[in-house]
Amino acid sequence: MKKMKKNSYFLMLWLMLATGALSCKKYLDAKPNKQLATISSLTELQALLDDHTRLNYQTVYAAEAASDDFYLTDQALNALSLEGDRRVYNWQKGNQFEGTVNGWYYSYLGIYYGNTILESLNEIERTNGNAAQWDNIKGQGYYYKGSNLLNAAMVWALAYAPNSASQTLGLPLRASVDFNVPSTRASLEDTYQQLLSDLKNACRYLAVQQVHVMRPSKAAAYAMVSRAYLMMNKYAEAALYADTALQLKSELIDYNNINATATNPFPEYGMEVLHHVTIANPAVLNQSNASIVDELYNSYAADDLRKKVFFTKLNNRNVFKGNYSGQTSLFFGPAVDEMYLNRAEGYARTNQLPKALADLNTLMLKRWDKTKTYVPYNSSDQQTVIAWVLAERRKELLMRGLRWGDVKRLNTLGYGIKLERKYNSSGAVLEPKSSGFAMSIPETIIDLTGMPQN
Amino acid sequence: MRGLVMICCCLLGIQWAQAQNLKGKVLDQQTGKAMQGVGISVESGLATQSTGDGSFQLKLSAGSYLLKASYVGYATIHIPVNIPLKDSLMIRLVPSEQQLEGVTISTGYQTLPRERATGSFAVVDQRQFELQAGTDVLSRLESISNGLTVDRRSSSSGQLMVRGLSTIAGPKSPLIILDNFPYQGDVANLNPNDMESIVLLKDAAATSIWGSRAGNGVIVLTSKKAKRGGGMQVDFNANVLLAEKPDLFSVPQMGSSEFIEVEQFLYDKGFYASRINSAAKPALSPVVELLLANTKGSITAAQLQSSLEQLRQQDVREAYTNLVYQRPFTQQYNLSLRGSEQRIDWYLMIGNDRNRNEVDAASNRLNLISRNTLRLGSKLKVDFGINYTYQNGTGGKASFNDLKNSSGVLYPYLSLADDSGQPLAIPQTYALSYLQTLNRDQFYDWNYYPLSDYLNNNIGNNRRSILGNVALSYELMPGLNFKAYYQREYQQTGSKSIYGTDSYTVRSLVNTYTQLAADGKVTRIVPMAELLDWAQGTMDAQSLRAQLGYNKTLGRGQLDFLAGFELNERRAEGITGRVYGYSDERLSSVALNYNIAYPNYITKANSFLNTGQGLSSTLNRFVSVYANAAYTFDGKYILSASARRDASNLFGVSANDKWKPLWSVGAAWNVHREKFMQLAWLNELKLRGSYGLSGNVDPSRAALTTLLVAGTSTLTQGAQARFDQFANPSLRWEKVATANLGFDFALFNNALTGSVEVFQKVSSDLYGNTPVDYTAVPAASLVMNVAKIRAKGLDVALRYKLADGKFKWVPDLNFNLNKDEVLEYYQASDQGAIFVGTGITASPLKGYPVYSVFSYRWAGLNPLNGNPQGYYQGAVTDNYTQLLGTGTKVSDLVFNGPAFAPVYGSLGQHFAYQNLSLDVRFSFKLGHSFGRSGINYNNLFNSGTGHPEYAQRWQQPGDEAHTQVPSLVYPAVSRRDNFYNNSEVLIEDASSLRLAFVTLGYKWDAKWLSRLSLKSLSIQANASNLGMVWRANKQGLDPDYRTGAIPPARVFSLGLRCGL
Repeated sequence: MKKMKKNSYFLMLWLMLATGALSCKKYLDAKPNKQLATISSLTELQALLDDHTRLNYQTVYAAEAASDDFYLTDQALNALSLEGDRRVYNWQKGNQFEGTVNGWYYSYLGIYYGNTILESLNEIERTNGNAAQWDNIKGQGYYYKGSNLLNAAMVWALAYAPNSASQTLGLPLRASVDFNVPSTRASLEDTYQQLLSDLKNACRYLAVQQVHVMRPSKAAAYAMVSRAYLMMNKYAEAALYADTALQLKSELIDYNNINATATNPFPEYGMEVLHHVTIANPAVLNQSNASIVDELYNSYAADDLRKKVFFTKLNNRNVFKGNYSGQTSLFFGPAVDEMYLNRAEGYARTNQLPKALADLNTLMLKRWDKTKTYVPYNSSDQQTVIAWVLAERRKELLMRGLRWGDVKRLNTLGYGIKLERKYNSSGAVLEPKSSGFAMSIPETIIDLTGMPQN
Repeated sequence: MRGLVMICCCLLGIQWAQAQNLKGKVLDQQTGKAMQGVGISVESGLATQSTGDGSFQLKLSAGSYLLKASYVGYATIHIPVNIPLKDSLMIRLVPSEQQLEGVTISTGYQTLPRERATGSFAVVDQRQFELQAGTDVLSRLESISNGLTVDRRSSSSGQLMVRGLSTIAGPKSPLIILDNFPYQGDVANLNPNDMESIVLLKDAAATSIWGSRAGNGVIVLTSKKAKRGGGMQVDFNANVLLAEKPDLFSVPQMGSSEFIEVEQFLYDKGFYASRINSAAKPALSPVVELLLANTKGSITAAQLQSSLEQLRQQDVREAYTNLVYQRPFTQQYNLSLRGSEQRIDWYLMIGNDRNRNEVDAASNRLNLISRNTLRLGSKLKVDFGINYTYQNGTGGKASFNDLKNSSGVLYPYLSLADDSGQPLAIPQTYALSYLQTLNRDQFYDWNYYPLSDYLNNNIGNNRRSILGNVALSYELMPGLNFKAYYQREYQQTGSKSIYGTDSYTVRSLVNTYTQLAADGKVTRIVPMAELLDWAQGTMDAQSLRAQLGYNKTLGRGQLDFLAGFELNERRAEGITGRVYGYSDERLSSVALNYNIAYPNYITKANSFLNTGQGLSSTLNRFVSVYANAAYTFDGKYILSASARRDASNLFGVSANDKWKPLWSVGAAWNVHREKFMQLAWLNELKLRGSYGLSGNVDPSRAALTTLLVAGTSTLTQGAQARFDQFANPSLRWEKVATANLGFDFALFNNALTGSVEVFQKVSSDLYGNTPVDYTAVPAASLVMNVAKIRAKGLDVALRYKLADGKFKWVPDLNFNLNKDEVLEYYQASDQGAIFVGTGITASPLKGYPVYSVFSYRWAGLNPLNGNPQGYYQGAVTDNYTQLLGTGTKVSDLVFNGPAFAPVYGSLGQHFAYQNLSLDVRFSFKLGHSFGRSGINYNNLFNSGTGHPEYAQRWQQPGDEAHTQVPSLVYPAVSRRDNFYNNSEVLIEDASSLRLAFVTLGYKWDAKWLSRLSLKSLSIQANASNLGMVWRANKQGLDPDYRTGAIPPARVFSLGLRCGL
């Protein structure tokens, strides 16, 4: 009897433990931190895509830092705290990207976000109810993947040339979020095919109208395809995609309505902006250091409003203030004016001169002082028209992260643009065919992956 | 005092007695007088008390028993007896204050006699614990406990570690148990005067009962309780503490004169041009302002020189010490009452601590504690208690760090007040010269006056904590009992910061968002009114335990078994907010539009108003089952085993993986009980050994990709999220396997006592930070289960009564040896640059200590230009791209030894003459290295971080013969600075010996006190943080404190203890 009683106590104990173990599964499924979420719905995916701090306010700026639209005085150059920026500016290979949170990091961050979106969508059913949102999110995923790869290609790869692209080193193409897959460099051909495919998918899925330009719209995706084709010197396609973008959004800001004396003349999220991508002025590019080269500044006609709206004088230097960010940060996203110029160049190169001239003049009318007479561009000589388009392109799109890519692609056509740091006592020079047009991949990445360096 | 004493017993007088009736007598060991009222009991529950002549009787059936004799103020002793016993027992009790170690040990699950323990327990001596003063519990442990050290390399308050490292990237704190459960609240709630005993659980047999959170060791705090028997006892304790002002001069700072020289040099180079020209008008240093004024012609060269000369004479540390610092002052009062009635034992405590720190911030703490035991019949016992803590504090004056400008630069020559004592403005966000140009009709004064700004603010914080617990113990049948515990702890924290209309915070905010129309019309976006920032937090923790225990004497053996089930939950929530347009008098507020970005008047950058909103909510849950069994044979041989499984709501781990079994086994042999070891000089010898596993869990690590939802976008009106952690499906809990072998001894009539233990800890599946290819994942490094480390060590505790008469002299030593080594570590790269460093962060390498100091080989300064030089592929070079690049492997570095002391411990001397006692305690750390800071020109130019060794820099050829400090180069080359600061020339031996404290005490005679109807009265004076007696480095640095941290100032205290 006594023994039985003892046994029953142990039985009770084990029963208690067993029920405890069963019911605690639910108890243990509680979230440890309410701010944490796993990806399980479209809401979370869109929330990730609305991470403005990383997707809209960060981008690689090295291409602009290496461009020939501005110069630094020796004084300003020496005062730069980032040695890597100094080396980018002087086109010195090696150690151009220091630390771990650099341009390479942000380029591939966008690609990782994109891959996360695309992979997670496989787990979320597309229904009649959520189709519009589902598609729009998928489009944004493709957009960030493709556009970041394009920006990276401008910095770390040589210009695209159709004959040699499959033998030229391109960039690592990350197909998934699995970080155990080692990074290897694809050919430049495959790199461009990948980013074109991603961006074209973005065109297919993105919504025409977004709630805000912080999210890329369909027009922004077309614009990025057009930009990619132009970088490949594929003009018909560049014009076609620019045209599609312009069919969705073509309104230009009339600079006559802009207060030229304001510190930041343009409104934030202005009507020409297709997708808001900015970078808070890095030291190498900010007004107090970067001065616009005289050759460029002097090329604006007196009645060209851009001469006043874009620039201000600081200690007798001409500095840039015409940021489409509406702030002091630089604007690197696609915009309507770029599309007019892409289409104009595409038309000009494919010998559709009247169309090219029409685009050029449409743009210029919005840039010209309306109290002064504007004499429209007019010529039947293809080379003249191309030269005009290129000149206006440089004047319109400075400090937008595009000039460096333009120099590269034009040099593959034999333009022979030799870059020189004239105001720099060490006198850097970048020859048209230099390998310096592909910057050094961060050394730590080379060390970790064993990929070939540029 | 059950946990703090040691037994001393002897069997005397052999007589034949009647079977089944145990007879004995209790005497005071010292006086030889009979003792009345001593509790005598055996484990089955039978108990009695000794009578006036000290005698007692217990009726027992035949068998073995462990007899317990206890009396307040005396060491409890346990005596194994076999009934029938031929002899009468003579028990001699020793007053507990003379005791060395505890007889019983509390693990939080059970209290067991030390004799029957197989594990490694370090009991903190209560007398030594009370030799020190101060308001917190844990800081007293460092210099007096065995196997515990404090690592201060990354924070001055330090990281407590039991037996060194068990983890690399996981949590390093030991588990803190208060009575029965892990303490979930703020450890600062605990009052040291409420602690009765403190035990460190060091090996697996001791810790594995605590399962997956015990990998770093366990500290069990046992609070004072009601005591059965005896009359009412009242204890009162008061302390005052006075500390010195913090020594700002202990932090290396560049001299004003040299700093000005560098600023002039940089000004001439145009280094400041971009700041001066910037539209954002960033802050300029007073020197740059003067140089600029001179350039613009607003002051003459002579005026410039005289102003600079004046600045050269100034030292901000001196000014701040004189004008701001005061001597921190603390008062502590504590009153406790305890008594015992027929059915209830009760204990009440009230404690109050009041402190004013060096910047006049006040904090008060009130502890109200009640703990009771209720006996309902012979089988049911209920313990219940409630513990209330209220802490509140107010803000103080500007801290020394507040003198830095908004980019973190501290100008060493700042002056804080003018000659007449009026507060002066110092540069903060914007240039002072620019702020002067603003129209005072449109803008409020935009200057920051550090000396007086605090007068405009009303900063307060408070914390309330209520901890209630109830424990029920029921004897189901003899030997079998059931216990149920429930504890709930609720803690509420709140803070309120009211910034007045004259405060810099408000003036600057209002000015920043001021809008000026073309006609000069002023619009204020932020109203000129008080500003309120508030925060509230709650913590709600619950623990529930059900446990069955079985204790049975089986012939000559004794079986103790317990098994139970436990739930722990901790829920913490927080919310913060900001009120604009606040008025504390009228409680008014103004609603502002948070969806419009307003321009900053100066920089023109648009920004949204800070809503101050923040929400947080965390929940940790643990479910555990455990069992523990011990079998003692003949009082000599002990076997123990323990097992536990834990599960938690660790995010993203499937439930099966959450259950983690942890176990231990142990054995011990009381050699002195053997017949062949009955030696006159041997009082105790016990051998013991154990092996087992415990774990270490970090609830913040998730195995799934998780997002952190970080608010709502004002632009897209949608939620915003970012990655928090990246998927790692193979995530596991860390495991620590510990093997322990040791012996405890007492020799020569207990004059020499101590223990010696050796242990080996192998920690596997450790979280490790490893650099990853950020092409593949947006992270520079990721934490994975990548490492395995092994630590081997030796713990020695010795105490020797050199003199034990009227004059007493008792030295004691805690000596700890601990060497860890990395057995496995997945490291993707072997580039030297990843491993160099001063050992602050782990960069583990197989075969080396976890925290190793690696440095670049030093080849002296280049005699031509003063460049620091190293070796690249055998040749001397100053090519820093090579020296820091991927070509320099870890094998090319110099290994300077571990960053943690492999040898540490403390040495105490206790002297007493009659009623007077003196205690002196030293602590030591030996055999490790640290990297001192050196000049870094890049930091000097860009962030104003200077170094006094600038004065010794290489300036001309030949200087390399007497200096190792690189020359100044412009522009600074960050790789050059990096090389020098990580080179072997800056590595120093970190060994040191410090005087931890000196305490002088006086205790009045009981005889004399009885006339005052006092039971006890003593006073003591203590001085602590007395600094280093010896250090290996020649630089005069304190290696325990990281660069830039101020070592704690000396503290003097005076205390009084009184019992009636």
